[in-house]
Amino acid sequence: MRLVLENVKKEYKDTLLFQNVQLRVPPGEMVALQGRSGVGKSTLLNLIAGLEKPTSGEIQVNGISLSGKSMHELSSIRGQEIGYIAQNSPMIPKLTALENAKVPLWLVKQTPDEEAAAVQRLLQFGDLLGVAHLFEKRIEKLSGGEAQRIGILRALVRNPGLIVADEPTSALDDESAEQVIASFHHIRSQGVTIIVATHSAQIAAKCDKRYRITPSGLVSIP
Amino acid sequence: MKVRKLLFKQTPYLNVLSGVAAILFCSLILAFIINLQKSNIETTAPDQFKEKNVYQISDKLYNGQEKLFFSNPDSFSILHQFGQKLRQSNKYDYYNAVWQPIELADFKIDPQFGPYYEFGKGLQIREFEGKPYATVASFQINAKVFEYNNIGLQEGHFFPSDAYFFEEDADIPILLGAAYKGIYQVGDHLELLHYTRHFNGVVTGILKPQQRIFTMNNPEAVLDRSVILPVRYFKEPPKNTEGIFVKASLYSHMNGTIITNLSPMELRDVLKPINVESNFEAYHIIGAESLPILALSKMTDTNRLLLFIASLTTGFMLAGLYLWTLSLLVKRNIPVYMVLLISGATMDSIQMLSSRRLMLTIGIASLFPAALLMIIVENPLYFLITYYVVVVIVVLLLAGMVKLMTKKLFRRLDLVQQLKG
Amino acid sequence: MDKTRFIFILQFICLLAGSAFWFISYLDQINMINNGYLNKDSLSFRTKGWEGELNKHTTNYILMQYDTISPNFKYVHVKGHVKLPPIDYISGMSTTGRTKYAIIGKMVRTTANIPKSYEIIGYFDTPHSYRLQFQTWLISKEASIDLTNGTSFDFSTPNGNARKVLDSLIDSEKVELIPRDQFGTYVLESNRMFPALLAASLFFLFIMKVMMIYMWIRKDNAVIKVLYLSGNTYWRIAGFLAQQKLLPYILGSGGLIILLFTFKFMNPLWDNVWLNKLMYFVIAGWLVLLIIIGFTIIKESVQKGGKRF
Repeated sequence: MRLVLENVKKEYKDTLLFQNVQLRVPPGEMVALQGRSGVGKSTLLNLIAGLEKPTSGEIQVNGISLSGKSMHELSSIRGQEIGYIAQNSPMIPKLTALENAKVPLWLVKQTPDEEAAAVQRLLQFGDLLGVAHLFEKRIEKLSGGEAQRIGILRALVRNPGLIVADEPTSALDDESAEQVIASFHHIRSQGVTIIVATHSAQIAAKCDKRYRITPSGLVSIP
Repeated sequence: MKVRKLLFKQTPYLNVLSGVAAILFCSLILAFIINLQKSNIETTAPDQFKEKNVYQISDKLYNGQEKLFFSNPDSFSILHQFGQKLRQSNKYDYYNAVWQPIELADFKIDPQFGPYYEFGKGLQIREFEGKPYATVASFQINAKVFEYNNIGLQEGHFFPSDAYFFEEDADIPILLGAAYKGIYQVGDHLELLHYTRHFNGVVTGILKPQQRIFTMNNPEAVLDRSVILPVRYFKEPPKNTEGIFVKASLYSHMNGTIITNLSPMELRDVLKPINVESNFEAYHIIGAESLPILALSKMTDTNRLLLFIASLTTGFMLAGLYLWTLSLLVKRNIPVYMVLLISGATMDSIQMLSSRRLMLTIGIASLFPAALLMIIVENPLYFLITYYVVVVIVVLLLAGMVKLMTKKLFRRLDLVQQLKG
Repeated sequence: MDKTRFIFILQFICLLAGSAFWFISYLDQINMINNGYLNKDSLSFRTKGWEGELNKHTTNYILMQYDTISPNFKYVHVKGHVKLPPIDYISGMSTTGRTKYAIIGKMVRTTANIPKSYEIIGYFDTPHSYRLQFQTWLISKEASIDLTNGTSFDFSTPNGNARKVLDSLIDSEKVELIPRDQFGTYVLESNRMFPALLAASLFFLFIMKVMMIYMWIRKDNAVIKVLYLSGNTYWRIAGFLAQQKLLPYILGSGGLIILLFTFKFMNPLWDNVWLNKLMYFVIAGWLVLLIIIGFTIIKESVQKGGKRF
């Protein structure tokens, strides 16, 4: 899925966060966003995921412009096209890991085939992420890293074209982080675009491009 | 549906408590409706007397006058005709409530049922034809008394319309005051002496506790410890030779109460032709003291207003409080809303979750008191309709407020900011 | 801010409960006035011929003595601070400093039979109570019974168990209780049912209170966890929470009770049953708070340890 950002600007109550953000990500590419804490990485990801609206500028996801869309429409696009991975993936207590991963499926009507395909995807990525054996466990019993990986699984369950990940490996050890990277590479090969905000050099090194966010826009990092 | 189940699982104890509170809330709505309806009915009895004049007919036949009158062989016939014309007039309501003790055979009762118990006298017992009879408190009343007072039965039925005419050898239908419950029951046959004449009676009903009727001597004559008989009018003029029962009955038939809008002068004009036709004028028309009637009417009106205001205030307070607890429940489910948000649910649909859940909770909770109503009440339709109209209004109001509240809460909490950690 | 809000709402619940209890007592007082100033616990009796001095007792009461032939003419013995029916005092008159005085209803036709030692100081201001409007009360503080004034008695006390109090004044074998009918609004079914409805509302309020307390305590889950992980014992955490939650709650309740006591003095009812019941409601809240604190600490510290959920 193609992602395009043109002249994106974000202000909070007359405080400029960033402006002149330009970005073009072709399908299947993985891009890292870096920068010091508080610079606006999470905000930019939220703009792309339709959780917030830019002050000005254009964002296109798979050719669909997010400008002028209502929050309702943005939510719909997010549900269909985007998998969002939050920094500390919120989990629903008292549900199992599998049930937590399946929450996005509850919001849409699915045919039996689609449901079967989704379950297959969960099993496949569950193995890749090393959490398949935890599916029947209550989420409270999982460690922070295991829960984070379930959050990543949840983002993948509806087969999105774009993954927006905010510090996906911050709570993970090196081995688990490698598993996450491996799963990202797997979906990249299927044309899924990935944009990830990260402090991790490990992840950044595996990305096709790296950018630093500054108040005057994105600066490419060699 | 899955999402609702999931929300329930998050805070099961609170949700159960909330469900119990909803059932209680709906039960209170129903109970308040029934109670207000009761208080409306309670005002109808004293309201009937409001703005009406009440007069007592009181004969002048005592001492010499009595002797002179009854020396006429047609005296019984005259009294009968006078009484008949009095009650047949359509210019006023003729109300007969006679406090007259009767005597019961084979009684199973204690002294409190005696007519003079408050005066310190015990049960008066005498023998009649080899059987002991005890004097008990009793009223004889006509159909107008039932119309003017809200008399309620706990068992059995009221007097049939033909009970108000004297039939030789027919069983007298009897209503018993609530204090007789457990001593006699509906269907029991009693032997009684009324004005010293023997009759058989059958218990047709037992009154609810604390039923009362208006009488000239007592605006609130309580019937709990009384035996109630119908006033039995004679169809044909009785002969003078019929004895004390007939004489006493004729007196009680004519010394009734007139309830009317007519002024004293107007009433006299209305009664003039009756006097002429029956050839009888030896009576007083005594106006009743209006204060007790007015006080009773005002008292029940004030009671209804007080209960209405108290019910409404209580209802609002409880609804407000329930709303507040719902807002706290909404806050408890923030993690769930965050997951739904990032999974593609819209803010609107998340906000609607709370109001839909409220509607479902109250919808289900409302069934419990409704079911109880249908079991307990004989004709519940009116109450059911009123109840559900009120429940629907309350639910819509609460759901709207919950939605507004959730919107405000989400604006304040900024779920998206929370995702950033 | 959050703490203040919760304490406010909990005290508001107690205030609502207090209002409900007060209204039940207020309704009973209205019923009492409409019933000729006899409440549902009042006793009617005869003394089986006994007369003399009543035993000394500290309880407050009203004892009405009358003849059944003229029941509206009553000799009324008043002991202690007892609320009388509403009275429209004659200008310049009051009960202060008087040991004997008369109050009459506005419909009393003749005052010729009132002894000279009883000065009429006012009229019953009870437009809905036709019974009081026809009554003459000769009120005194003498605690003795003279049967020439009548052989029937009605006894009322605001201090709870009327029978117990009466037995302490007159030996029980000298007393013959007689059943008494109720009149006025006591008889109305709607009026009898309403206190039961308010009682159900009170139960609702209690459930709300439990829910509020539960949510208030649960808000501090993180605090409990942090304290536990920092090395504090169960009892230390309990002490901390008690200080943070229970103390302000008790202080808030105390303030509310003082407010209601002030209200009681300004607007006294026949009895203080409503205040006693409110105290139980408030104390029950304290106990619920303590219990929930106890369980929450166990759950959030010992049971969960350092786990996220």
